[in-house]
Amino acid sequence: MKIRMNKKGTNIILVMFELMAVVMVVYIAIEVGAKAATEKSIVKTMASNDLAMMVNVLIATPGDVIVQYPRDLSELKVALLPSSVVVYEEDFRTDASAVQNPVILPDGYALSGIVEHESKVCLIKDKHFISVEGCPII
Amino acid sequence: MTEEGIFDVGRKIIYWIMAGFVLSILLLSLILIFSNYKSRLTSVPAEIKGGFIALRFINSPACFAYGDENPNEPNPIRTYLSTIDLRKFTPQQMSKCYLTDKDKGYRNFNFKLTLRNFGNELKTNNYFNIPHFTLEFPVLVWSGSGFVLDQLLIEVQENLPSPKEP
Repeated sequence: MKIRMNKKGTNIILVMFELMAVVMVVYIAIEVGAKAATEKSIVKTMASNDLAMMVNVLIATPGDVIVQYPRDLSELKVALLPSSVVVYEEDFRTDASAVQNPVILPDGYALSGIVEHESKVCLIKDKHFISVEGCPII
Repeated sequence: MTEEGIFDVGRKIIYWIMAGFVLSILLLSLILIFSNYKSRLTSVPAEIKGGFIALRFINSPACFAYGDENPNEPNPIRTYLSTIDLRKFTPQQMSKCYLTDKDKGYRNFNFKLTLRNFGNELKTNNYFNIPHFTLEFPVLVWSGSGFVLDQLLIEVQENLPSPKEP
């Protein structure tokens, strides 16, 4: 049995598919744009870069120092690993979006500390030990 | 299906094959544009990063900065900033001050330090004579009997690409 489809019927099905394809493309473009605008990767990258540079400056500063990171990091977590600074959101061991910056330490120096959801984060240098903590209330 | 209908379907299929290809490229370009924008937003000039790392050479007692003993104060060593102790300006002290990974250290900053007047030179362990920029610091050099003014030139090698397999 031959199925006869007139041109009008063919066009309606094709138009529906075309509309679906356009809606899908527009949706993907909006999703990509919205994700880029709201994700925290830029904040994490900048914080990680800044903290690594601060650690290098602390190494170059003799004596004991306490310095506050000026940005609010209440939505993020910071860890000082033995040879790097990590800024992340979940667990730094499994968080694929964690941003890590290596730091080369002189002999005898050590990094330590984890800070979670603190608005004011301080780097504290005590002799050869550099740690990260919530800033003390003065 | 009429002949016209068959022709219409065929034409649309060809159109959508081409449109699908173009749309995929456009979406990939959009993603690349956002990635590039993010990279440019978060990039830090190498001169700043390298400069902060290089500060340790002239200011940290763990590197080459001169320090004298100060037994009556809480900190036993009093460090003088922007100084070089020639007695410490050795490859062994450089290894204690700044040592990169022996296999992949070329990915970090590496340095060559030269005292202009004294002529002394030191390199970090993965410096391959590919300087990207140079920093200059005026320093006081302790030669054992007194301080002498000199210029410390620091040639900075940024991270190098991985060497290709032969």
